Amino acid sequence: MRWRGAALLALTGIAGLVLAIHGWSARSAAKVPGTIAGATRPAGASHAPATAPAAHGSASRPIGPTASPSATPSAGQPASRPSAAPSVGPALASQSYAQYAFQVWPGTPNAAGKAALIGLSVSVRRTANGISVTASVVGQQVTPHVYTCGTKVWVIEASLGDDSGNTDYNLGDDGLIVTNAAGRILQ
Amino acid sequence: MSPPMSPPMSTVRSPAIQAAERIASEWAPTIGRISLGLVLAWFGYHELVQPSLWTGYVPVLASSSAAAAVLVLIHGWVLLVLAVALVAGVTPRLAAAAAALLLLQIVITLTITGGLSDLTMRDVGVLGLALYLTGRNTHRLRI
Repeated sequence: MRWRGAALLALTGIAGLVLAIHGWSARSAAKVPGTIAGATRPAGASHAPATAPAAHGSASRPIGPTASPSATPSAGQPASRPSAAPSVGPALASQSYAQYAFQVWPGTPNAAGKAALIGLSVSVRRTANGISVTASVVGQQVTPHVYTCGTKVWVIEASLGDDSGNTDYNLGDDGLIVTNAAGRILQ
Repeated sequence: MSPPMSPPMSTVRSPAIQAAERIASEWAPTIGRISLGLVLAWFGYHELVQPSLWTGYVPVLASSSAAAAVLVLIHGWVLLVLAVALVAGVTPRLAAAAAALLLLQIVITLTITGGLSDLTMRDVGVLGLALYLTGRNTHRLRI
């Protein structure tokens, strides 16, 4: 019954179009927060690059391979400063991506956290103003961000299956979140 | 007088083994076809509903660009149609051949960007299954 197969494929094509429209309309909402692949950084995190625009909270955070070279600090000259008034966002546990969040600081990440860190370089140190977090793709140098009141650092990794060895093939589902003592996201 | 010739041990099979071989011969291509279809369906569905999580795989283009999202949606749509064709057995050889082409592109891209890795070799295995199904014309459970 050739026509039955054709009809089934036609129906599938229509269903696929409906899903594609849904995916297109929801693509911004589904984006991983604080993505490391060159999307937006948390709004309150400070950034002190050589160029001016990134000083604002909503500026982009070019860390990944799509980063704009103009926002990358020169090697060996990282600088950071705390944000003037960091805002506190919703609780991480209330977010849809909470299931993909792996705590990487303080303490030693567990096995899943280590897997989520594959391909990424995250370093955290305490400062007088809070914590200074440097997150980037392995091999890249970026400017640390200072989060006042930050107590925990999380890596978001929606799919661990895209990591291999020391390579993360898909940075689009990776992100970084810093929370305060109450578990709320610092923005 | 010499004793009667007995068949070599390698050709002696019990009825149970013969039945298992017949069942495997008849059903293994079908199971492989449906399995490949389920793999494509899973990836196709997720690419369609959450394209932003997959744009990082698009070569050349920035993962945050709209063009990358469009390409992921098109890729997901093709995967979904191929998946249904494979699972339902609608032109399975053609669908398997198209899947093989898509997988070949994926393997080449992953190899260029990250070298040979466990991820790449896993896709090589799926590519082999698609190529195998391209050469099989006998399938059960076809509509």
